[in-house]
Amino acid sequence: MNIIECKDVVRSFGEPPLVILKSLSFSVEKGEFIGITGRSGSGKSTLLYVMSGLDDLSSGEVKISGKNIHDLKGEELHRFRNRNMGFVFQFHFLLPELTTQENILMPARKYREEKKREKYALSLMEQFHVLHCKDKRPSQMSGGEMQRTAIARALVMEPEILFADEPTGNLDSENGEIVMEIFEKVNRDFGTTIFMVTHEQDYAARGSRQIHLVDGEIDSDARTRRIKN
Amino acid sequence: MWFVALKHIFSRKSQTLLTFFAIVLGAGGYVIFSGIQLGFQEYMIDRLIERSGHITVSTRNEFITAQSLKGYFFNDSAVRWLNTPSGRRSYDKLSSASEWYRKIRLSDDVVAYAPQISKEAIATRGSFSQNVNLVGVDPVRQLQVTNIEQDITAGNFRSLNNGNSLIFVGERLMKFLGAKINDTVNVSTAAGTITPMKIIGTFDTGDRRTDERTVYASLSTVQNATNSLGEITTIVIRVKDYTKAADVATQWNRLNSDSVESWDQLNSDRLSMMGTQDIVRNVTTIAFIVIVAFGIYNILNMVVNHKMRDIAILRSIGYDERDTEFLFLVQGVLVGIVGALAGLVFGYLGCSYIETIRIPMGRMHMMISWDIIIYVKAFFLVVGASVIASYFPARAAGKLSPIEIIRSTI
Repeated sequence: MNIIECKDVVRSFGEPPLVILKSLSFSVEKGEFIGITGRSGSGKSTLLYVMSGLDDLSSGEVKISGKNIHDLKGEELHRFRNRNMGFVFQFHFLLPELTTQENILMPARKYREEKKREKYALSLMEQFHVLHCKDKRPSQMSGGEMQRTAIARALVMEPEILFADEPTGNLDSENGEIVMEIFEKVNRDFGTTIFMVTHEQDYAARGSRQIHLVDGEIDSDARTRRIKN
Repeated sequence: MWFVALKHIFSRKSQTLLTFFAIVLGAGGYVIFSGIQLGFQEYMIDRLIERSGHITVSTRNEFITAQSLKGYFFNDSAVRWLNTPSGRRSYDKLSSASEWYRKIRLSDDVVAYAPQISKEAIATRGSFSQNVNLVGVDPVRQLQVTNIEQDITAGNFRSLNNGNSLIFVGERLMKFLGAKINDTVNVSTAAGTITPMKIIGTFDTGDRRTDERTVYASLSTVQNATNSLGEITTIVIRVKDYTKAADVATQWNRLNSDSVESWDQLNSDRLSMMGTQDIVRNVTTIAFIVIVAFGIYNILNMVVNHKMRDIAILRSIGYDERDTEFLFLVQGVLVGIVGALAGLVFGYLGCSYIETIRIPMGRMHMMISWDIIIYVKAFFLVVGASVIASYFPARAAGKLSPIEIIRSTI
């Protein structure tokens, strides 16, 4: 069952247009862990943002769970993003005034579900080894702890898809490995579809599928292992 | 968003305090400045209304022009003036005091009235003399139409009726004449009579000219001393609603040959001066508020710039443009409301202190207006300025593109 369908996705900037994504078409099955690789400027991050609806399309179509993400407007789009997508960026983007627990529960606050999600947030903190940071602010935590907190925040609404843009880019190899283990566990245990942009070939290879981009086009698209449905 | 807004406010203590103090100063400054100015104006108006009465009927002065002589000559159109007529017709007394009494008693608007006779005289004691305005009053009626009783510093004003040739003088006049209570001064009038009069009381209005030159006596004392028996030069009237005094005065003025003026018509020059003061006060207070608004605007703008990453992540986890706008708007408005309330308290305490400062005029201390409207206006002006000043940075924050922020961060 396809959870994401991209059809002739084109993204260009400026005038005359600089085309970053050149008519990409592919689909993603539910539960896949896709690593997107490519050189800088190949369009990896742009593809992630276009697929998640954070960025606009120049032409083409992106469907998530059967809905054209770029046709959703206003409250429907924000609710869809809140319920169905999680984001992890290279920089953790934690709110500096909030504690770890408060940061993780921020998506739940949007619809006043913070009480309902509190237990789950605590279990994520425990699984990601940041429970000891529960009441700490980002400035009191290490880079690895902050990124693990950001992952917990992305997962607290139990989204179907996790978009990760260079999630290990700011981490040392030890913390990068921990993050990858978490992603594998999330993909395996929760069945979350993961779409991860990375420069690291080794990390990309740990997913179930690897798409390599060259100059905005798919150079290779290979399944490295079967997914469990 | 309240949750994050409060976290923002309390985490940036120095910026919040700076904004808070600016708002406190703005609201407090408005309250103090308005309190002083309006206090002085209220005092002045109170004096104008309550000391001289709401409506004054007095003798009319007519200025003679060519128009004044129209109809006096056969075939007016043939008259050509080589020297245009000029001059003044003045009257020593009201045309018909008894007719006025009848009219006043019949009016539903009138609460009380007091007849007066006012004549120029010279008060002398030993080698000291002073030009004075000798005012004959019915003391009981006078107390019903003015608040002169509040200015009495010695004696009982009603005692003027206890005999002939008894007077009340201003404190300053008594000093000028080197007199004291129960002393006798000689009062010379234009009629050529010199009447010894006994000082039975004093007053201090705070108005230098009045305190130096006014002498109160009973109606009969003045009429006898000036050979003007039965004459009345002025009737002072108190009406139910002093704000409508001008309407009543204008209506009566049309019907009679005497001059009828309300307190505000009599003092239109002073009131227009107060109008100018109001303009100055409003310009100054608006400047206060604009400074406050710029303070909030600048600080919130800085905050929005510092919080770009927060905005990006909030948008990526499902918060929309309005949530982002609200986040920043509510910060400015909350600090505005709390600052405005604190500013009102600051202004109240400031006014309370300033009121204790002694000055050598009026009530001998600074006069402050405690009108609740000052406080209501200060609150809404400051909160309104906070809303407007917060709206623009908040709106700018709402319009930020999360993807642009993320791209510029990485």
